[in-house]
Amino acid sequence: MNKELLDSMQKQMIPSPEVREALSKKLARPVKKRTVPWMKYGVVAACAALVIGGFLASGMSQKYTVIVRSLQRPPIEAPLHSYVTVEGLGEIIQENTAALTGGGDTGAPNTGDLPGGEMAPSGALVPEGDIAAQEEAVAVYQKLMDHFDGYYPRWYGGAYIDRSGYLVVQLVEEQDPGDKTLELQVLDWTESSQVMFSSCKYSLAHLNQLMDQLNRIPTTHPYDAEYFAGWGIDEACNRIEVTLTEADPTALSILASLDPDDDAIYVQVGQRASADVALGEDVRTDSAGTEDPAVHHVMPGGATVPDDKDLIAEEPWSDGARYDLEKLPEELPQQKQPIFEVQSVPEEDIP
Amino acid sequence: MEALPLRAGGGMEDIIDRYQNTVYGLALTKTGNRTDADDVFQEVFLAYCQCGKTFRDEDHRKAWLLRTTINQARRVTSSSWRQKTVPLSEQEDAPVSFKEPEENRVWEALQSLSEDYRLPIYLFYFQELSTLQIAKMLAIRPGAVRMRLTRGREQLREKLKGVYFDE
Repeated sequence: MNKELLDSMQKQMIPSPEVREALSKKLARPVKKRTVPWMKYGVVAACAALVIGGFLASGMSQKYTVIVRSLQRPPIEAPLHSYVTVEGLGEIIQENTAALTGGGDTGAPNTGDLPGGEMAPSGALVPEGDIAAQEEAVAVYQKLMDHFDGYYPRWYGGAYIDRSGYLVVQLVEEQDPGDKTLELQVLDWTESSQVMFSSCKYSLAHLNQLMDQLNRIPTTHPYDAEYFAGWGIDEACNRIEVTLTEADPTALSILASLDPDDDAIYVQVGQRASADVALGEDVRTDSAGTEDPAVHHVMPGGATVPDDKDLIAEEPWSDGARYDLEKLPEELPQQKQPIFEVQSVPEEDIP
Repeated sequence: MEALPLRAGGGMEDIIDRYQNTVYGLALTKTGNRTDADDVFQEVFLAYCQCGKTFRDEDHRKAWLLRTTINQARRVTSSSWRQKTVPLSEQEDAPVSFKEPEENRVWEALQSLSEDYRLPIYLFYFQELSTLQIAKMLAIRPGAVRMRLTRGREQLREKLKGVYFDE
């Protein structure tokens, strides 16, 4: 740009003498301390007190607290359900062993709902005891189920077949111990002497109700459902067994809300199908010594329990034919060799 | 050049004499009229007198004055009261007039630019600041300053048709 022109313009950009004089007068005045605007502060404080008072009076604080609590994951005050870690501890997982060994430490089969499956009939897999007695117990169980017709009464806590082949019917503790009416009624229904009775805390109807709530978790808590690997009713233990992939506080708080007494749901944390050496010889195991679970649960990450045969891992091998010693062929076949043989000697070095 | 006290508040008359063109020119460029520029001019030097700041050197003092001028001018021009009022007399809002018609034409062309281009052009050509100093003052990147200078020059060349404009 034209520098002379710009310099000329710059020189003309000066304040008028009046303005300069007014500035000098202002500067000559003693500097006043900035007064504190107490009035302004007072008005602001009064407005704030009014808003807070109105907030508390209108009951909005309770709604606000509920909203804040719902936003907190996990809620700070929410109790957590107890759990047992089974991964790496060599502990037998109850649900799998019950289905195969006839009840694990209790000697009773797990006849509850298996995740993704139908109700497993009591005594369906009972490797021990008198077979005839067990078959009778199964028939008795079917009679009992026919009377219930899918609707369990409040006094009924479940049933299982014990090692001796008796059908053990559990009665809820609320009933009067001296009142034998129910026992007589069951005996009347079943028309069998292969029935025993024991007491339990929860009715099967209550446990089924809890199962329904657990089945709804994928829809009600979609973000936490990934931690639930499986769940099912263990009638012998009169509880629900839940397997979690990890001890997530939110998942544990959900279970705590479903089970306030902390005894209707038994929570295991860790991978399923981990039982191996402790099961005994009669346990159906594969070549790797691991138990084949009744239900293949989805492992963390989405992978299911792998198949026994891994075809890719098998080394290809040319199998020779079998020959009759009396009718040997004129030319014997070549010795078995792996298909992929490494030639360590270069071809040009072979004489 | 006479050395001035680096602590704000001392030697005010000399400091005003030295920097009044700088402050007033920038205030005039930013606000576009003398009335507002007068207010900004007084506010800047009053703030300077009361701030009690000790400057490292003259460049530091000049930068502080320019930055404070921009802030004060923005406060004046962006106030809602100012935006909703109409001046009583035309003299209040009269355009700035210079002695020569060429100067008036350059000024009008400068004022017709948007503020993004007007301030860098003024600081670069009138105050002869570097792009780095302008960038610090306007809190933008040096590349942005150069871009605004280029586009501002193009617009000025178009408006002035090259008569008063030479690179």
